[in-house]
Amino acid sequence: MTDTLVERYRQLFTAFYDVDAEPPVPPANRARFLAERSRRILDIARLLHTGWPRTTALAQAHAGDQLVHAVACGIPLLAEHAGSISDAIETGLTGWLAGRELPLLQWVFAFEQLSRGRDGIARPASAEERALLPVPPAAPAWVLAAPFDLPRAIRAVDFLLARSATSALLREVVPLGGPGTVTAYRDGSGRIRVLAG
Amino acid sequence: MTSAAAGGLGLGVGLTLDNVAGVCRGRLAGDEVLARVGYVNLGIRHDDIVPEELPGLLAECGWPVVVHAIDINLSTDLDPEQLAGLKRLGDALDARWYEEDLGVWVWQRMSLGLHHLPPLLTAESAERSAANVVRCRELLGRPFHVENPPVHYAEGELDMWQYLAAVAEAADCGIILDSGHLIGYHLNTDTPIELRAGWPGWPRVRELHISGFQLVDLGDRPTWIDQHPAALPAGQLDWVEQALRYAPPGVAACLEQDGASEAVVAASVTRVAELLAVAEPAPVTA
Repeated sequence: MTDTLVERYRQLFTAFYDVDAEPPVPPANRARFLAERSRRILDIARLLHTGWPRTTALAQAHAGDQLVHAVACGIPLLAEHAGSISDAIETGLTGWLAGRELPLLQWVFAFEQLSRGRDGIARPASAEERALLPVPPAAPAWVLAAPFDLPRAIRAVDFLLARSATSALLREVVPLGGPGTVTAYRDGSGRIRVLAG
Repeated sequence: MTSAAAGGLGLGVGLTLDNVAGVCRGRLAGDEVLARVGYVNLGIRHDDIVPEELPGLLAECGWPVVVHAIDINLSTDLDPEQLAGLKRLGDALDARWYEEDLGVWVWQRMSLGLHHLPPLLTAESAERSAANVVRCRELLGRPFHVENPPVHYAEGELDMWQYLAAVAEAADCGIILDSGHLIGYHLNTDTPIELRAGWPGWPRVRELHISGFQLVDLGDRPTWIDQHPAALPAGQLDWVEQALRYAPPGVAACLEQDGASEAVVAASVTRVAELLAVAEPAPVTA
C-alpha cells in the first residue's frame, strides 16, 4: 500500500508545530492552517504553565529570572538557555524557540500596572484628554499610547492566560490593529476605570 | 417509534473506566436521572484493565456496553497488539459494537488527544480507512463503526459527509455521527452548518453523539474545540432532533458530557430522552 498518505500526515503534523515553517498547504487553506497551528502551540504552552498570576510571571520576566519564569508562565522563548526546560520544549515544539522578543508582553505588563493605578508607567493625561472622559476623574489620569490595539491584545492575553505564548506567536494569533491609546483614571468612587481609544 | 421501542439502545452516557462503576452504583441506588439511561458507551484503551466487578455491575443495571476505542489509527496503520488488547476487553464486556473516530490519534507511540490529525478527505484516504475498519471487524469479532472526528483543519476533495459515507460503504460498517464534531467541522472549514437530508450515510447511522463545544475567538479566526462539559447550546439539540428524523429507527444517542456538573448532565439527559421519545423517521428524500 502506498504511503503517500502517511507522508502527507507527517508533513502536516511537523508543520503544525513549526512556527517558522511556511504552511505546506494550498493558499485557500493557509489561514485555517495557521489558526490550527496556533491552537496546537498554545495548547502545548498551557502544559508548561503552572498558573502563576500573569503579572507575577511578567514581572519575573522583566527581572530576568529566566528559568523560574519559563517554568512559571511557560513562555518558551525565555527558556532557550535553560537546559532541561528547553529539552522538554524541544520534544514537542520544533521551531518554538525562534521567538526572541517580548514587546507585546511588555505592553501588557504596562497595561496591568496602569489598571492598578501605578503611576510612572504612562504619561499624565492632557487637559483635552481629561475632558473626553465620561466622568471627571477624581485623581490624575494616565494615558498609555501603544503601537497597536492594546485592549484587543489584552483580551487575547486574557484568553491565553492559562496557556501562555511567545510574543511571536501572539503576533501571529492576534491581529494587533493600528496604534491606539488607553486611558486610566479613578472615578468618584475610587474605582479605576480604563478607556480605550 | 422510540429508539428503545425500535429495538435500539436508547439513551447512552459516555463513561470511562475511572467513573463507570460509580455511575452504576448511582443507578442501583435509585438515581432518577440515570434511570433514563439505556446503555453505557465506554472509552477504552487497549491496555486498560476491566475491573472484575464491572461486568456484573453493568448487568445489574441492565446496561449493555458499546466500546469506544481510544487511540486506534484508522487512517494510517493498525497495531495488531492494540487490537488484541481491545478484543480481550470487548469480549469481557460483551460489547455490542466497537467504534472509533477516524484519523490519526497516535504519533510514534505518543497519544495525541486533540492534537490528532483528522483524516485527509480524499478517496484514497477513504479506501485506506475502510480497509482498516474491515480488518478491525475481523480481528475483534464484533461490529466496528466509524465516527467523524473533531476537525480543526481539513483538506481533500471530499467533505466530511461524503468521506464518512464513502468509508462506511466501502467497509460495510455503521456510522457514529457526532453532532458537535460535525457542527465544529462546518465552523472550522467556514462552511454552512448543515444536516444533509439526502445523505447516503443515513441508513448506516447507529448512534448520535452529543457533547458540548466551545468557540475560541482568537482575533479574526474563531476555532471550535471540543468542550464536553459545556451545556448544550439550543442549536445543537435542534440539529440532533432533526438527525433523529433522518436516522434509522432504533438509532442510539449518547451523551458525552464527562466533567459536566450534575445539573448540566441531568438537563441534557432529560432533553435528549425527550427527543428520543418523540423521534419519528422523516421520509427519505433521496
